[in-house]
Amino acid sequence: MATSTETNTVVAFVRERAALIALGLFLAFLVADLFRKLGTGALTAASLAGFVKDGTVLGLSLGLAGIGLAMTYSILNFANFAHGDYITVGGVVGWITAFLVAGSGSANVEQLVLLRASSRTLGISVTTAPVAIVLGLIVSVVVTAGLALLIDRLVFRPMRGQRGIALLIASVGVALAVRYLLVFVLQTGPRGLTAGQVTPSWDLPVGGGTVTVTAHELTLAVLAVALMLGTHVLLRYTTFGTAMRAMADNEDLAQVSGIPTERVIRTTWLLGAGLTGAAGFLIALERGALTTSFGWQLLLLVFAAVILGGIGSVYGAMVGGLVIGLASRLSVVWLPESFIIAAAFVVMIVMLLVRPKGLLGGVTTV
Amino acid sequence: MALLEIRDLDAGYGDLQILDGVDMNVDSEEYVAIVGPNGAGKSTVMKSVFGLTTYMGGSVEFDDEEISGLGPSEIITRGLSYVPQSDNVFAGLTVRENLEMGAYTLDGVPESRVEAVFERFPILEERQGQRAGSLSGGQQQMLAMGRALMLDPDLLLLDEPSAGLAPDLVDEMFDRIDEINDAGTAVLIVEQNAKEALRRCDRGYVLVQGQNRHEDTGRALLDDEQVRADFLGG
Repeated sequence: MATSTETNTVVAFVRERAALIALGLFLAFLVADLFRKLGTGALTAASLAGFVKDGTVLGLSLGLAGIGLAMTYSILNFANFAHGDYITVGGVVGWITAFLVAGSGSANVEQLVLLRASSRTLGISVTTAPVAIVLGLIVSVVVTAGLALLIDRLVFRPMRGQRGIALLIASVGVALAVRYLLVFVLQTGPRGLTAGQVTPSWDLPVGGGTVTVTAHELTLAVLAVALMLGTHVLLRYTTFGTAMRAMADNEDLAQVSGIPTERVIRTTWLLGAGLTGAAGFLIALERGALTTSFGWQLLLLVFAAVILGGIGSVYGAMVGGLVIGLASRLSVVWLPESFIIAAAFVVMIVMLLVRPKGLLGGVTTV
Repeated sequence: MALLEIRDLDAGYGDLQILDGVDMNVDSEEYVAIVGPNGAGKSTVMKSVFGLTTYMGGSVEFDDEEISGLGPSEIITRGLSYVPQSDNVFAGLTVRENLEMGAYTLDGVPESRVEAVFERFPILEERQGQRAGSLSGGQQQMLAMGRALMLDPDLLLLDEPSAGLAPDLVDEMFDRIDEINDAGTAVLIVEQNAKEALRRCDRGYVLVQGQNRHEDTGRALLDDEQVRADFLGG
């Protein structure tokens, strides 16, 4: 039988890549089903475009929020569970600033600081209160970066050189301390931030229907992309960025090359936490509301994005964020809305089975 | 006059003492080898000079100044460079970026230094845009030396540069080290390939259990009955 060896090769090929082939078939089925749904009218092009838009916005939020987590992981070798609460801190301090700027004179200061003033009365949006938004963004970056440095000095620096697991547990403690400090001051409960009635939005025609894009979604998307590009330029084209990658790559060699490792660590916290603060502020802007635990609740998805991208890879965090964001929002085409988060994690698990090191893990550090 | 002078050095890792009263010196432009059996503390001598071990006593002077207790980033600016035995390139960085990291302590990377390294190792110029991790073992070793030469050091510390290289590359590696030394850089080398190192060097030290056992010219050590019996294998 001349073909028996060929058959054997095919069998071996199928066996080795069974999971990959099954996954490919499943994806092909989903795509075919998507076209069927579009064809029968069960799904309109406009609602599909809406899911893609929502997924992109969520994906950029997760990607931006994930950069800091990936940076600290790659330089300090531990998963920082306080990262979610750094997101919250960025949102809270940035919005207190925005409230104070927008509401000075018209509302009681205590109400403004506690974010209790009525968002409808304050009427904040990027067009009605641009100064408040810009100052809020700046303060969120500066305060979150400062807080991360302070916590590094108090908690993580004395533990330098310890195992990742010890640092991880310490970071859980930091997370709880930061979160309940915020709860102590602000109390729990959601706070409205922006005024929907004064936020510009555009209805874009898509295949007979429309997709609505708000100015705040656009702001988040544009700034997230800009900050990611900025991070890319810093890492690739500056000596300091190269030193950060060098240290992520081989800390001992960085040390004997004369790279000041402590300074790199401090700058990593500054940059990572600054971006995280900005992410917190912008996510709250896009959602129009925040709670004292919104960062913590987001952390699971941020971790999913960072792990999917290849933990420790900044570019992986960006790509992973987009994949998780799009997958979770597009899952609504087939699944009830309550399965959004579950779908995101199923996608993460399946992709990690195929690429255990993550999408960009092992390809590029930092 | 000695460029590097190690006197009565005790050092180790944490509570574990490895070096016990080691004395060594390297003169300007000299080529010195440290040989000895496994676990003798050869690499520990280098790491101690570079401030990477726990200092327990004695002194390390470079250019007549005490350097024990200084960190690597201070030591490197005084004219010492160190090439560790393994993991001695930044695998994820390009060849050029690796060299740039060798000059991190300077403000800006002097292009003339990059050129000088490329002249010494032309293969690195060809591969300058490639990731260091994609280079062969021999090329990585050249890159590691190139990185260490970026600051034009007075003394180069090489920890087992021939480890893991194919036999035909070992000779080439030793030739390169000769060239670096001929150009005026003093070399202190730790080698498993003891016979070759002793053949090439000006002077050698035999280290056994963290202590000086023999010291002489390379040639004399090679011919020494006791040294041969102790560990050169007859």
